[in-house]
Amino acid sequence: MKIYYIGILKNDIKPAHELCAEKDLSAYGIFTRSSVSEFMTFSAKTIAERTRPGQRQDVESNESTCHAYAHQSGLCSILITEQTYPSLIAHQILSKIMDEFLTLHPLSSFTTTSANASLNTTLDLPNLRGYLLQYQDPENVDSVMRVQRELDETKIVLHKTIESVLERNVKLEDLVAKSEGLSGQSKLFYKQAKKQNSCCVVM
Amino acid sequence: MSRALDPETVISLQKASLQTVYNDIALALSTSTSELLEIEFLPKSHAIPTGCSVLIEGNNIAVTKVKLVQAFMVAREIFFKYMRECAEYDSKEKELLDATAVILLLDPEHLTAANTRKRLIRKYESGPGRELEVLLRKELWFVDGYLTSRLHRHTKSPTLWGHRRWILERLKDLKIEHDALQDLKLVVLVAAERHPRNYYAWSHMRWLVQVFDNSPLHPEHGSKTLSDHSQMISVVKNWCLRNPSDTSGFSFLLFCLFKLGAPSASARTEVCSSACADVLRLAVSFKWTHESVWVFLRTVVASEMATKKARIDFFQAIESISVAHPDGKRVLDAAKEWCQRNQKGCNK
Repeated sequence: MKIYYIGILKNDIKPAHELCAEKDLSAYGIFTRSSVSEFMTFSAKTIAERTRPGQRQDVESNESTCHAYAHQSGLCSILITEQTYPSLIAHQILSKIMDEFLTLHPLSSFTTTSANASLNTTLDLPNLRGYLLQYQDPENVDSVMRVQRELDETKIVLHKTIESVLERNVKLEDLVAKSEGLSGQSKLFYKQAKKQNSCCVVM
Repeated sequence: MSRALDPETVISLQKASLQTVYNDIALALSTSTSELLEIEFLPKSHAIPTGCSVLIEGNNIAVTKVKLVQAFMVAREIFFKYMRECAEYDSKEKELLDATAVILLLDPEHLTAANTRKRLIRKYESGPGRELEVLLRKELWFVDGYLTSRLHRHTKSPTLWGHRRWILERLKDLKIEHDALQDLKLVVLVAAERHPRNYYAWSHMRWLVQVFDNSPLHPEHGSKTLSDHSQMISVVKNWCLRNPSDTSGFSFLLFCLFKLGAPSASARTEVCSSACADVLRLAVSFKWTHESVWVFLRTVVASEMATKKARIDFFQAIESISVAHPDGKRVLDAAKEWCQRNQKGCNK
């Protein structure tokens, strides 16, 4: 029941901006961790940008699934989990962290007319790290299920590939190449991983 | 004078740089740390600065495949040189240990390298037990590092797991106790996580538990044995619930429930029922249709250790999940049919 990434992004600007996030990189050695971390953020941003307010979607890729929930306020919560993680529960967690974030941070702290002004803002959600760890434990997840929220599973749009979320004529390789959040090393890492067909888990 | 290099110089230079690569990597692999080494192969995108062959940070080591192959060429030469010159063998312990460490990093199935390491240890068998124990523990540290690192082939290498077993057999010969539960947590579960459905890791654990089990024939160890076993069952069960698609984990859980633990039938039934109930509850909650989960459940529920309640719950669960997940019907129906065919009489 692995969770790799949990975070909240401002997705009414492009590129989307990561306000807070926690990651579990323990599956990776310390020397490649930073690249994987960058890719997780890249994936979260790419999908957040393409999730409309009120929409929920699941995007599958390489044995992981990116769950996204976009709120009316211009925020999007993202969870990246292993593919077998129950989707309904992922979305309940997404709702939970969104509610907590909105309670903690008033709208004014992240809405802005200038996209640049928000570039360096990070707004903490102190419980995030705890949730990342807790919700990998099936017993804890079970208790989330018991506090059922009004969630219609049929409303969650499922994409079997990340390409199906992208606009026509937009290629993932190009987005990777253009991304400012990815180091040169990471871009090369992606290119080579793609060639060998090996997994770069979150892509 | 021409700046071109003559062929002999080129060869000797190449050899010199290979030797440096080998020395650096061999040195890194013999780093003395109390924690296990964490070794990874760097992808080509993550270049090592020129002049270095290996990245080291505490107990973390990273090499590129290219450099490792270069080191291997030197290691192999050293290895076969001393293997042939038997007279030299005795005095070249360090060299052989270094060479075999490099060889096994590139090729974990190199049985001759692994056996050479065993032979080097065997030389101390006639000496004081303490000295032998120290060597065995060091060798255990070495092999555990390879078995738990993020190296795809090593975590599931029969040669390396066999090597570990040999080391523990020698410790057993010295009548040294070994904590099987610790091994489970620090070595086997880590390897099982790194490489799912890790047959060799779990087989090793089965062997380990039986060999180092304080058998119920020693009543003075009775209570320790019981709590050790129930701890082990608890640890394994929690791991299985976090990795529900891993059939090897569930197989080992079955082994623990059926073969270990309390000698009395009613105590065993209780432990079994409790584990079964936990797995079933979560299977229903998450609507699991993993074959691994249902093979486990049907086996426990059909056994003599199942309670009537467990059987009722089992069949009910199958009905409810089949409705919610029609695509899992094949697995669920198979479990139901198997159970009906193989049901034994139950106690309660």
